[in-house]
Amino acid sequence: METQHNSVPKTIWAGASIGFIFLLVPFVGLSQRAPWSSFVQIVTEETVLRSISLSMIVATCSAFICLILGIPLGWILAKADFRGLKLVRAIVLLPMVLPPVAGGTALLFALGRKGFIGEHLDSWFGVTLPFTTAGAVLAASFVSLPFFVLSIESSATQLDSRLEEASLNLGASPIRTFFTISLPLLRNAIMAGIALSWARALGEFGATITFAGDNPDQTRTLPLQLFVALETNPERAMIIGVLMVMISLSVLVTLRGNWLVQK
Amino acid sequence: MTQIFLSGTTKLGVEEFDYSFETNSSKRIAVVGPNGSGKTTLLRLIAGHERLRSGLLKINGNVYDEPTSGNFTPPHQRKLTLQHQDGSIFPHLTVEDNVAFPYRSKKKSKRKARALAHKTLEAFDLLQIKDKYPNHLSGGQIARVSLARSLTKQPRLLMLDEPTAALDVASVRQVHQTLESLKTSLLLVSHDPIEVLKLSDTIIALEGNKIIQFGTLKSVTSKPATQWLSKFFDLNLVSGTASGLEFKTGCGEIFHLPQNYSGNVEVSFPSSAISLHLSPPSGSFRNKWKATVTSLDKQDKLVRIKLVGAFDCYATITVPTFNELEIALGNTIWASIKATELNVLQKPNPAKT
Repeated sequence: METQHNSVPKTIWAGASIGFIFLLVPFVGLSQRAPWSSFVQIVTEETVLRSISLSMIVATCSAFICLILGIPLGWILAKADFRGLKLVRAIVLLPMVLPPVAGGTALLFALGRKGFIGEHLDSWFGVTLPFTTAGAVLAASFVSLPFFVLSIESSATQLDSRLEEASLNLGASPIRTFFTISLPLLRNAIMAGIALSWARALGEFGATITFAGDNPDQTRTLPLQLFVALETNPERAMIIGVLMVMISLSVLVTLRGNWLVQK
Repeated sequence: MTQIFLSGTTKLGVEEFDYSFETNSSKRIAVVGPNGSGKTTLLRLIAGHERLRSGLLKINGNVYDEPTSGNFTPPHQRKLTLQHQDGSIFPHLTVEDNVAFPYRSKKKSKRKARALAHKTLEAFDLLQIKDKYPNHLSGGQIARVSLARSLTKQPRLLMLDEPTAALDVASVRQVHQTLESLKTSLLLVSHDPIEVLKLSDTIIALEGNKIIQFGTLKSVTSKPATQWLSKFFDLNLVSGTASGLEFKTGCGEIFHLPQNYSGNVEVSFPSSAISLHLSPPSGSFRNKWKATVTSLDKQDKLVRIKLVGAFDCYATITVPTFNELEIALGNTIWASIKATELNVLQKPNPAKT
């Protein structure tokens, strides 16, 4: 530790300190102004408890969807070689760069009640996504899937392909090789992907409110609750903000950065 | 016995490869050649990790790759194993599960596969470490696990890409001993001339992604087609028994060794270390013997001479020396070599049964 400390130039230390303070200050402001005395009372309100459980359900479901879709997508981006691969990658990563509101709008015109797929969902199956928890899960999955895909892709490209070749050589079929060799070797990337997409889904606001709207029973997750409170009751907003910091921080501490940063 | 027929070309990036050979009666084939001459690609082609652009690959009568007819047998359906230099042991599986992997691939249950692997683990002396993960193993242990795993597949042909390149002397001995006792046909890429001399009966020599020479070990070593090959095989190997500073060849000739040894040993020395004389050389500690010249191969400035006497060996001398000695085919001359030029390889003790 000591030697590492000495080998880093002072200028770098100064820059890093400013960066750290920049990230820290908002939380100090929040916790300083928050009405701590009413914390327990607000957090145990039924509407807030409902938001907490909605947030957990939405984040967990969307992490699961990312897991199912993200592994094959990341694998193809890493291993396949075809014309248009770069375009496919750009489209897959688009929701990461796109403002969530724009993503939500796009979802609305595709899967909304009047969207080109949504209208058939409605008329044929009687399924409407806006204002439902399923819609919120869909919006959250849309914005978090790229994080999962990136995590898988970057690990899959670094995978030692000789191990997969050895498996084929020893008589395992390609699909067996994928499940017995490739997937176990991608374990860390999969865990990182789950953590990243879960965290992204937990904080999702823009796409959710645009596509799934604000329905107190079905779609009002913690970020939406915070947004609503900000307009009507700033003290409540602060408490919910503090609550979100606590949830996020405890997730990060539990993971100890193990999967997010691979040292 | 494995019959390989390969005649075809392929292209990787900008590099083009052209291979053509057929083996019928050889059991142990060594692939030799300078770095980047297409040795590994040849093995990968036979394993099915690369595909032919044109031509035909047939093993034991089965067509494995024929672009014109579209026939291609994928790697996992070929009855052969390719083992990479580093062993490619699966890091997330124990030694036992690595060795049992080929059984698992045949859809055997985990228990059944482990039971079947038991015998192999025992034969390779891996039972004590069967529950260890690869990152806790030494290089020699990894080599043993890898070889054991390759053999549990019971391949008709075992292909090894530089199996001993990264191993210490003791492990090299162990691997050689195992390979020598194997019944499976071998196709081996090697950078070690001693390994090639010990383990192979047939040579495929590559240069510039082409087969430059193909033939029995004897024919290639006695008439190497290129300078690289003659340099590579510029090595004599004599086996016998040692006691102290004395080494007795199979035919009873006695050599003096640079150090004390005992038991079965192999002595190697470069052909250029041999001096030739018309009459018995004087000097007390020189190793000398009488031999007949059975072949002469004049190259640019050097002459390669095959000597047959108590043992067969090659001597390389310069053209002026050659002219001075007036050596001709069938002549009997004296050869000598300094003890310090001898490189002694202790042979492993006879295998425990």
